Parts: sequence; structure tokens; C-alpha cells
Amino acid sequence: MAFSISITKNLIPQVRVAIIDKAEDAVRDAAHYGRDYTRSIAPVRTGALRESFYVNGPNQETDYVFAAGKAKALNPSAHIVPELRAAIVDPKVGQLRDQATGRFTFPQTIVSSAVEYSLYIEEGTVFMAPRPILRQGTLAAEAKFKSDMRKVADGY
Amino acid sequence: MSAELARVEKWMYSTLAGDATISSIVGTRIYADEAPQGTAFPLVLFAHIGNTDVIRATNNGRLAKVIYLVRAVGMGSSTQGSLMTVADRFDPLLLVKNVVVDGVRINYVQHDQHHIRKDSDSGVPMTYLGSYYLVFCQPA
Repeated sequence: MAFSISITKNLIPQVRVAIIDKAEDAVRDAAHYGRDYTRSIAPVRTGALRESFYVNGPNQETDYVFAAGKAKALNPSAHIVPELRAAIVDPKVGQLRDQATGRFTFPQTIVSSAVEYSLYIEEGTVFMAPRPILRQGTLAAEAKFKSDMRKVADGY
Repeated sequence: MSAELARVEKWMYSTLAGDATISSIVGTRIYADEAPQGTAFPLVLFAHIGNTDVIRATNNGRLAKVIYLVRAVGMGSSTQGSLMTVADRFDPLLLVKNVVVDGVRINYVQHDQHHIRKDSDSGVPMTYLGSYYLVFCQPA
């Protein structure tokens, strides 16, 4: 008498977790790449601006204290601004929530500067042309992120 | 053609300067990057912020995504009145499709991000109001 056995294993939850992990890695790598790119093109007089760029996230990873401290040491008159925070896990529900809006979200990172005058360099003033470096870093990070996510989608 | 951004800036300046509403408020005070010292307010500033060029098999081989920051600048801390009137004109004027300027095709323009900033110059409040725009262009 012929018979057959069919074994089905549902791996979708594991695949989902793996994709989220790899996506989080891609977010982290892109942010650090963008931060490093920004540093590499930053104008230097005291070096404080170059050292002031930090990455917050994903989750609670941050190098703000290190960046702010180094910037202040290089330029003691620089005004240090508070850290911007990416989404962190809400322990009650175990999901990421945006710090600014409270919305549930995916892994986030923020790349920013700890010195106030970075804004005036980035956007310029009425009598001083912008010398954008953070947006250039963002464009570089965007390209890396797309490339990395393409690999995630392809199953690497 | 390699100096495409110069053509894009030419289009941006002539588009802003040619608008009756804007010119009735700022006159000819429309500047690229920065205003000359001592100029009157309000005024309009536009500035190239960055770009990425994408190599394509079609579209003459290259497509540039260019970021511009366009804003009205006025003295005082209010975003209302003439400053808002000028900034309200940016989207209708700049969000175009398929415009050819001196050998450069502007495929389309997207509004990327609003911009508002208030700071001060020697204790005098100064307000900036406008937007970041993405200009997608290529050789015509």
C-alpha cells in the first residue's frame, strides 16, 4: 500500500526576524557611513565641527557624549546643543516608537551635530552662503542604504 | 554639456524674478547663495545644497538629482504678511515638468522639505521661510 508523508515547516517568522535584523544593520551602517562622510568634508578651523557629528540609534546606541565632549574640548566657546534621539523600544509593547511623535516605527538613526553653529554652516545665513556637509553625507548614506537593502532583498 | 547646474540656477532666478507677486514685494532682491551686505529686506535667497548624479542607459546617460534651498528672508520674527505671500509663490512657480533651459531638460521638480528658521543678526530678529526642492535634470 502506497503512502506519502508531507512535512511542512513554517519559517516565515524566522525570515521576518532575519530581515529586520539585517535592515537594522543597514540603517546603522548607512548612518555611520554618512557621519564619516560628513566629517571627511567638514571645514576645519578648530576641528570642533568635524568632531561634533554623532549617530543616535538604532535603539539606544549613541556616541553623542563622546562627540560633544571632543567638540567642546577643541572649541570651548562652542554652544553645545542637546542630543536628538531616534526611536527606542517601548518596553510595554516591545515595539519601536518614534521619540518625537510617539508613533510605532522601524529602526531609526539620527546623524546630527552637537554644536549649534553647524546649522549656520549647513544652511548659511542671509549674508553667508551655505556650505552644506550634512546633506551631502545624507546623500552618500542614502546611496549606501539602498545598496545594502538591495542585498537584503536578494537574500544575502 | 557639463555645466547643467548653471542653467538650472538661471532658470530658477528668471522664474522667481519674473513673478509679479514676488517682484512687487522684494523688487530685484533675489540672490543666489547670499545677499550683499546692507541690502534691504525682505529678499529671496536660493542656494545649491547638494546633488547626486545617476548614470542611466537611457536619458542621455545621466540624470542629476539636485537639492536647492529656496527661501524668503525678512526682518522681524513674524512669518505672516509679505514673507508668507512670497514663500507661497515658490511651489506654484518651481514645481514644473519637462522644462528645457538652454540645453538642459528639467524633468520635474519635487518639494522635498519645508524650511523655517528664526535667528538674529546683531540682536535684530530674522526670519527665513521656504522649502528644499529636488530638481531632476539631464542634458536635453
